[in-house]
Amino acid sequence: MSDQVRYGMAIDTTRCVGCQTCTVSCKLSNQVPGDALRCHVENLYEGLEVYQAAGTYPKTVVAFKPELCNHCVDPLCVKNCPTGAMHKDPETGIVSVNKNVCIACGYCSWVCPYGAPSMDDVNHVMDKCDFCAERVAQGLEPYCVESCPANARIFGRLDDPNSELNAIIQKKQGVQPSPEFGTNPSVYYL
Amino acid sequence: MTEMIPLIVFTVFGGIAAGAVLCSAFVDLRQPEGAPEIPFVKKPVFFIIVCLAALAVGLLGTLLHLGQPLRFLNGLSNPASMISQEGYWSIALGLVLVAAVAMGVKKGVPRFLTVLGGIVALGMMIVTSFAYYFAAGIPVWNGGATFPVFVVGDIAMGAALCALLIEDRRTLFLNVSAGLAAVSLVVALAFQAQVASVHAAFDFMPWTAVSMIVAGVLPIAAWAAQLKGFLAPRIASIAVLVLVVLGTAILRIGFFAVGMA
Repeated sequence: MSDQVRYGMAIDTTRCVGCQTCTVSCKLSNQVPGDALRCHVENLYEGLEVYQAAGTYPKTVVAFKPELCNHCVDPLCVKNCPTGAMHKDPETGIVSVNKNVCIACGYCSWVCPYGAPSMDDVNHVMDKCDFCAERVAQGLEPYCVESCPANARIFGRLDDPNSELNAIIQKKQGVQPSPEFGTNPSVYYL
Repeated sequence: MTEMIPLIVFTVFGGIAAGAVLCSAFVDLRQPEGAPEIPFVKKPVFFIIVCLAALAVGLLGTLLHLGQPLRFLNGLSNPASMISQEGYWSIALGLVLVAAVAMGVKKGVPRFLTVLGGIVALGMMIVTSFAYYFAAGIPVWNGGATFPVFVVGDIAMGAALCALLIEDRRTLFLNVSAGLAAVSLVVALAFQAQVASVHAAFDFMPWTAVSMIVAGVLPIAAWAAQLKGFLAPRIASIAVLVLVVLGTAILRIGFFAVGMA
């Protein structure tokens, strides 16, 4: 196991039922202000509305892709934030925003290929998922993981080759979203 | 639409200033020794003051774009960020223009300052286009046509301002403006193709068509009318400036609309 912790998540799209419990749980438990969302659910098939079926009858399928910040190893939001408000914790790999420094230029949301940062339109600063860093520091799981009724989210340490997270990523051949951007996301889709 | 307005204000007014300073770097803005006194509005320093005012309006636009405008100095903290670099180049251009005003009141603008201003202005235009080009979350901006949308547009607007305010080089700058208006036609078509290849669902053609007419066809018509003697050069230069600025702004409204759709 390496010295540096790298938290990550696997999301099993074959288990997700699109109930949005993760979205609501995150919003309520973290008291995310205004219209900002730290996680949300999209259609697994790009270009379709969230509950729209893909395919043609009788071979139709409804599948979901829960999205959140990927806590990339090389995050474009951190590289491009003009203020340094977007930062990566060197001890956990978690990417967070320092709201006392942010000027809310919105550039992080433009450069993030995953559209993760969103505007907190109440306090006029950017907002984003921080993997519920305070809970994780206490040994707890993020709210979205704990509340998922389908057990579609697995949280753990990517730096630990023996972790349950790495085991399921290997077993189910998890893939990172849009690897072509070279950001090395810490979220894998199964 | 509302969130676009500060970006339009910055890229259009800041772009006019940068384009005009770049174009003026190719001519002499000094006043010869013993030259007869001319009205203030015809002096090179007046031209520089207008550029400075346009840049100031553009920078005020950026403040309105921020959710926390009072923290704007924080935005200069990361040299790797294109937004910080836009700030560095804009402030540098402002400082060069302030120096040009201070030194140019009596004898015109020293040559080294016009050249330095041109270099800084070009840097500002390129960094501005990079800021959009590198927005990985907005694929429709990640193509080569993004650069001329800003660089050609800025120079076209700047040349038109030079044609109006640098009277002894008006013919030269009107000719340059007409040439750039023709290039603007190609730029609009190139960006249309970029949009169509990435975001087929967005109907960008109205923006392209209107900007081609306003920033391309009509300025060329005004230039031709001036050549044929149907329009006085001063009237033609006013017409070209208004049309190029309006047409460039229309293309950029479309640029931001398709990116933020």
